[in-house]
Amino acid sequence: MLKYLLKRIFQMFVVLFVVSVIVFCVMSFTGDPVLMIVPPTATDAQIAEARIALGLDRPLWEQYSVFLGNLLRGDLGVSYMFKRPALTLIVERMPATLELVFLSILISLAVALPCGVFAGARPNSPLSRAIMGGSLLGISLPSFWVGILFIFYFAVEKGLLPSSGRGVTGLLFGVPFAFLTWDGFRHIILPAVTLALGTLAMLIRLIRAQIMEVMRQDFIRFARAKGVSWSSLLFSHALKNALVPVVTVFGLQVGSLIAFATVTETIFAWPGMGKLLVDSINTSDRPVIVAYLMIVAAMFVLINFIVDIVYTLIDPRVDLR
Amino acid sequence: MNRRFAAILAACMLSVCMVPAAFAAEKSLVIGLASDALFMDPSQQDETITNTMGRYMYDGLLNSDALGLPTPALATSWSVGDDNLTWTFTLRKGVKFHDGGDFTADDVAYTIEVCRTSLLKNFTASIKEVQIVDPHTVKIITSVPTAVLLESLVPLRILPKAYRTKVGAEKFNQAPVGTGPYVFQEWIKEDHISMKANEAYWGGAPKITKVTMRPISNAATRTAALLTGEVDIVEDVPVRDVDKVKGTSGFAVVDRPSERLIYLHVDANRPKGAGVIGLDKNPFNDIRVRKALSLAINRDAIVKMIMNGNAYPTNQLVLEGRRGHTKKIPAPVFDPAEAKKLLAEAGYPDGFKVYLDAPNGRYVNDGQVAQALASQLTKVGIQIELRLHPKSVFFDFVRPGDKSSLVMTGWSEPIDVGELGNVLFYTRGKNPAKGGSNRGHYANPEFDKLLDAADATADPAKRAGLLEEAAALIVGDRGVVPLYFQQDLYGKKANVAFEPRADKSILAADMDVK
Repeated sequence: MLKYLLKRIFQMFVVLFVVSVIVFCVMSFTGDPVLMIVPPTATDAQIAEARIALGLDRPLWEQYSVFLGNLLRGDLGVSYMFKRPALTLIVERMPATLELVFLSILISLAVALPCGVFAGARPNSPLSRAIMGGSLLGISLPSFWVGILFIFYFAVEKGLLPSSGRGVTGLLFGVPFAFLTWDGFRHIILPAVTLALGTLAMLIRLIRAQIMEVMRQDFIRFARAKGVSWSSLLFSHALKNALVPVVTVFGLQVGSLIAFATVTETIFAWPGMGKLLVDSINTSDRPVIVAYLMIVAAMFVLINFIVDIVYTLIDPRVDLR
Repeated sequence: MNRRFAAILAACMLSVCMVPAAFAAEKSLVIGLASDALFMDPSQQDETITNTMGRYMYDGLLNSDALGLPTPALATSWSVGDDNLTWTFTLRKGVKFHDGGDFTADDVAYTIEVCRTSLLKNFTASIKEVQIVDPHTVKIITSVPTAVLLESLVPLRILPKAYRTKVGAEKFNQAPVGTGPYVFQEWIKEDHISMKANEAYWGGAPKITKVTMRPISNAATRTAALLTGEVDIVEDVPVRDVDKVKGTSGFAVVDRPSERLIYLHVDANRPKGAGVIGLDKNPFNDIRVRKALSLAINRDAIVKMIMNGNAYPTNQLVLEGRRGHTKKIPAPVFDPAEAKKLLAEAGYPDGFKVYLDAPNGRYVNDGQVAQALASQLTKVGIQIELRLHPKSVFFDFVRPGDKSSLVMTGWSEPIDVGELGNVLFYTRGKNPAKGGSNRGHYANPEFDKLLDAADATADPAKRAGLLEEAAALIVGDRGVVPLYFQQDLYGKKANVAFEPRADKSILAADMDVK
């Protein structure tokens, strides 16, 4: 186990290194950040001065080695636009994104598990067909469209929920969260549901396919013959055997929801870190973009690691060595 | 709608109406903005929302009115010496910063020093020296006579020397202190900024006691937040939502011409056109071609079809009321037949090919406008190959002016034609402080001379005369082809009293809620 752990940690560093090189190279092809920072009336001398102040006058490999050196000291650089540490900017906005993503994951699991299992066990029932039709919609409708539709229906037309923002937050361990207050909870419902739709629909389809496959196998027939109850058959015998690929996809999905909740956050003016990424791309704020992508890469590696551990819990045959 | 629901709705509306009655002294305003402020410290960045925050929490020596003209603020009076360089400002007495500290001449000198060392040198470019005469008098000495000194002091928001040096720049940016009409309360990034009225404000306590700014970057969401009543006023109502807001009872749309001019940079003077395709010369050297360019453009159609009427076709460089706006410039004419004729006379009966470089996503509907221009110009023979650039790349691409001969872009000029001309059309390389963004390499000694003369005077009236001449000269020469002024659009609840400003700031201090 320890050997495995060390191997994974080593892999993580390799991945992060490769990501940093790629991101750094790609960044140098995008716009010149200096022109985004200096006022439009700036003279050539002022622009040159700003370029030196930001270290952008140096060759790319030198910029990269400075970045790498700082990174090893835990310093991800300072935002050109905000003149504050990139890490601080991201961490400041992270709780909002995390609570949004976790609520939407809860929603998708709560809906996808029963629906997927049912549709897999009774593929021909009209309800299953309805579920599958709905899931197809969920996959194909773009979230920016669904979000705007929700806002106009639930907020503008019906006045049931607020249109945007995070509302009043409450503190948990000194970190502000919206779900702790009634007002905040009302604010989080629409964005969380919007964000959940895509994942939810995909999980339903995946679970259904897996369940259908498992249901055809012999041990299910034996269990039935043994007199196992229907619900126990579905949820402990069938579902457990269907879960391995589901957990893989679910893990990746969690990662991309956290990293790229961008669209939903922008539509609902949710003050999360996804919007920071979009703004930073628009202003060529390289340190923030690089820091963001590094954190995202680290997160994906971590999630995959957790997924691997979970495999062993679901299926004892899986061996991490 | 069934009856019970109607009853509930009525009850809700009633309770909403009752709230202001119950707290008559408290007047609050929620403002929906297109983005969050970058800084609370106004010396750090020249950006619209940061500048707006500078208006709420700070004062300049001068502030500006809705038209953009300077008005006395922390300086109550001023005079220029006989050398036309030394300006003496008398400061307002008894003004206190929000933390209780006194405002004195020290703070003025400190602020100018901070801006000098930040990247915002343009705020202080003309200032050579600051002398503190006594706690309520400062002398500002400019390096050359500067007619625009008063205007250029407006964005210089006065910082509290004692407090800012005590807490440091980073902490100051998170918990700012100024002399302005509103006192900082809270800034939750990307969620809201809240402020309360400064009851001791020298200009009188604002009527609106509590202000919340909410950044809502998605335009449709911003409209929705207004229509649900979550915010009282929003900026940048998208053109497609204007009718919807107007048509909803209890809401109104307010507009005014924006300072932002959309125009074409023309490569008039270089012998070889960098963006001209397949020709070894530059057709734009010939004034007939440049005239044809302007004649071929149907500005009214662009404004009507693409901007839904929400823009103002123009041939001017600055808004009416600003120095350099002049009747000597005739209104733009659309005459494609004449354009074709001029092209033929210039030796291009079959036209020629040229790139048009334009941003996509920087200005309102810019990509579509560029496409319309391309088709209008191609019709008379100026065959356009359109190159649309995302905004983060665009300015980098066009600044050196070495890849294009025709550039569509925008400029927001808060002062006058002199400031605009110095940056955009002054001959490159003659003066290191001028012509930095001359993307078309326009070079006209006569034009430069007028700008230099305007800069050499400290007399605003004389400057205005010179700038009118300069504007008429360059537009007549088609060194620039103005297209239209954008429109600033605001959506608001009917009970909000609001007058739009040239600088686009929504200032609660000048507003009221009925």
